[in-house]
Amino acid sequence: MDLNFKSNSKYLAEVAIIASIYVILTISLGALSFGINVPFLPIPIQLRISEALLVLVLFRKSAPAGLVLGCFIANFWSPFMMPDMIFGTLGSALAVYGIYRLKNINIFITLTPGVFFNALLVALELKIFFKIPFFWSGVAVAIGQTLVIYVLGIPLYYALKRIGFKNDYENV
Amino acid sequence: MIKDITIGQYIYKDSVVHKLDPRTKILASMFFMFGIFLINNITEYIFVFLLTAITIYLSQIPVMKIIKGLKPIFPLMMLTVIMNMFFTQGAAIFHWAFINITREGIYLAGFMGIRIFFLIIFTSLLTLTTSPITLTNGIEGLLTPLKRFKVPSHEIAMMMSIALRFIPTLIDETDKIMKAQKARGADFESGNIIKRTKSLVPILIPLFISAFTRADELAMAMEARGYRGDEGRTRFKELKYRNIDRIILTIFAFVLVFLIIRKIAF
Repeated sequence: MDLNFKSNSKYLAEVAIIASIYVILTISLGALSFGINVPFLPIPIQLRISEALLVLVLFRKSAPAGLVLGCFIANFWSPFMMPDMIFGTLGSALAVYGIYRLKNINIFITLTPGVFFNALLVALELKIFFKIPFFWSGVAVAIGQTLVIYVLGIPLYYALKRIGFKNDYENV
Repeated sequence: MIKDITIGQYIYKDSVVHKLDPRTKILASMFFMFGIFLINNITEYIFVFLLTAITIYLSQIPVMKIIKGLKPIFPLMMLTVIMNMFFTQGAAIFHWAFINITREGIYLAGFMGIRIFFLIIFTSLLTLTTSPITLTNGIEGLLTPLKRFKVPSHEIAMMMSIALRFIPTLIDETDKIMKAQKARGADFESGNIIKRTKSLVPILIPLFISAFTRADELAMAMEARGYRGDEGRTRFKELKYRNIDRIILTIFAFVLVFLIIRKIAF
């Protein structure tokens, strides 16, 4: 069944489905994800559960495109749509590219671009549009991303490995 | 519990704004976004207000619906206003301990608040008056000229439409998985933040498995129906610029160019 991976439609379908999962995790688990206030930090922290999907980049060739597209579509629902689309999507693209390049190193290091680039771009956006101090928003986003990527992403990674989730980069 | 989120913000009305070409609306919103950062005096803000008010009136979208969309961004707006008010240097008009409120700070905070307010309202009109699928068509249309630079505009639009189509299906699926896991004793609501975040793994794994199975089936269905990209593909609804689209785009482009020149030259 997986022999025709080179064929276009398989890739298209997987990218679309990954994007779809990203979107529903962003908009629906909004009910489950939560803003938390950390003492002394002037900005509330938000958890974007969908960012845990970044680990899929280590399994599927279609994941990078899927996650970037998902991030773009999820912003259709954002009240601050246009800037979010530009900065959020760019941040995801850089994060995904970084993870892809680092994919053969230790998992903890591999996932760092997911924290770094999103924090960078979101902080830049908040600085440009809201004039909120770059450093604090960067820290707030980085904490949120670290929580999601490491607390949820890493167990997810090992769980996927354990159940034998198909890995495009391993020749079976 | 997940089911009651609305898919998109689109509200159907038979209005002039709804009938505009999606490409016009996307471009106009982008021009607006850049333009609003270049205006700097009260007269121009009054123009922005009139433009927004007229667009809302023409679109027949209830004002309350638009105001409601502002709610999630309200804390961020307040934060902006407060930060700008307290941390701008200038002539102090109020001073207490380390708090300094300056005239410049109040002006800047006010302008920033108003700017963000209009930016959100105007761009949210795009998603309120355009269905996600039409938006996708518009994006495809705007990307088509980039094909020369190897941008796969058709594939992007295709993937976006598939993704949008599967959102309701996968929401149902997630809901079922959550109920099933709860029935097995999973607990998503108690414990600290780390525990609650971790508790999502038993939802995500089955969701991935079923979603990827769907992707496989979809790919096979596409193959079986002879999908081979955009060559020779025809559409049921063609996008077409009308005169009103041309007029609106020209005006927006002119205003933006004027604002940019003014910014650079003066």
